[in-house]
Amino acid sequence: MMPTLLRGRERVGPTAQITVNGAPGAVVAYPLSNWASGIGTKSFILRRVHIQNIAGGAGWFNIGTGVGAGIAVHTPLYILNNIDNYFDNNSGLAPIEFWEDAVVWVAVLVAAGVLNVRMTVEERG
Amino acid sequence: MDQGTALPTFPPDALYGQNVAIHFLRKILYRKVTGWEYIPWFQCLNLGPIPLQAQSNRIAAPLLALVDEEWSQLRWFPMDYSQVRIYLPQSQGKHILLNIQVPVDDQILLRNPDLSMTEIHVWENNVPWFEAMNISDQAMLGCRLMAGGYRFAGDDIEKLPGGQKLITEIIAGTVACKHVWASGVSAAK
Repeated sequence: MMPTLLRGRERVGPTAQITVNGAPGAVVAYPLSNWASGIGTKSFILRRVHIQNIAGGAGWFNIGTGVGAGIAVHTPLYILNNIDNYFDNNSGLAPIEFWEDAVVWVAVLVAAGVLNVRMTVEERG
Repeated sequence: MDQGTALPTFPPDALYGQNVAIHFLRKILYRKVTGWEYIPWFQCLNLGPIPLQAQSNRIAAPLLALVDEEWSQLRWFPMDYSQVRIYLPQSQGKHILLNIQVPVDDQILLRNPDLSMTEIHVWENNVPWFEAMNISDQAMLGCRLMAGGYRFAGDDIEKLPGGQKLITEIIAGTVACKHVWASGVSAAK
C-alpha cells in the first residue's frame, strides 16, 4: 500500500456524457491538472467511477486515453442497462495511475441511449 | 479517503546571528546568518519517463538554485517507485560506501519518517543532480522528487570586522559553529 505521506488529494471529475458508440465516442471523464504555470507534474489514480446508464444497453465500459479515439488502459467493465453502475478499488476498478486525461467510452451503445459518468480520483504531485 | 498526514518539519541548522561553516568541495565558507525562511515542500524535479529496468540520465534540479551568497538546508524524497541517486553537485556522489552509492527510494518515508537521512545543503546555484533507476518490470511515466526545508542568507565572516579572529576561534573550537556539507564528501580532500 502506498505510504500515507505519498498520497494525493481526492478530486471529482465533471459529469462526462457518452452519446456516441465505440472508441470514437470517448469523452474526458477526468481532466489532468496540467496548467503550465503550476509547479510540479501531476498524475492521478482511479478510485471510483459511477456510471448512470440511461437506456444505453448492457455492455462493456472502457477507461483509457485519447478523446474520440479511446485506447484502453483499464480492462473493460461490464455494465447493466437502466441502472447506476458503480465501481471502486474493492469492486473491479484497478488503482491505475494516469499521466494524461482519462477518457471513457462503451463498446456498444443503444441508439438514443446516454451514459453519464462521474469519476473520483486521487491526484498526486 | 485518507487525506494523509503532514510531512514532518525539522529545525533549521542555525538561527539569526549564529555561525555556519559551509563545506563546499575543497572550500570552507564561514557565514553569520542574517536571515532565514522556510521552503515549503514542493515538487523540485521530474526525471521524466523511464523504461522498465533502466536508468534515467543524470539531471540537474535547477528549481533548487539560490542567488549568490545564499544556501539551503533541504530534505527530499521520491514520489514514485524508484531508486534515486543524488550527486551534489554534478559529479560528487552522496551516500557513498566502498562498493555502492546508496540510493533513496519512496519507502524512505516509512523507514526514516523525518527524512533526516536525506538532508542536503545547497550552496548558491550548485544544485544537486539526480538519476533514478526504474527497477520494476513496468515503464514509469514520470519520476517526481519532492523537497523542502530552509533557505539562509548570511554575511561572509572573513569580511566582517574581527572576522579572521572569529574564524580562528571557530577552528580552535572556542566559538560555536554549525558545520554543513554542501557537496559530496571526498576522501581526497
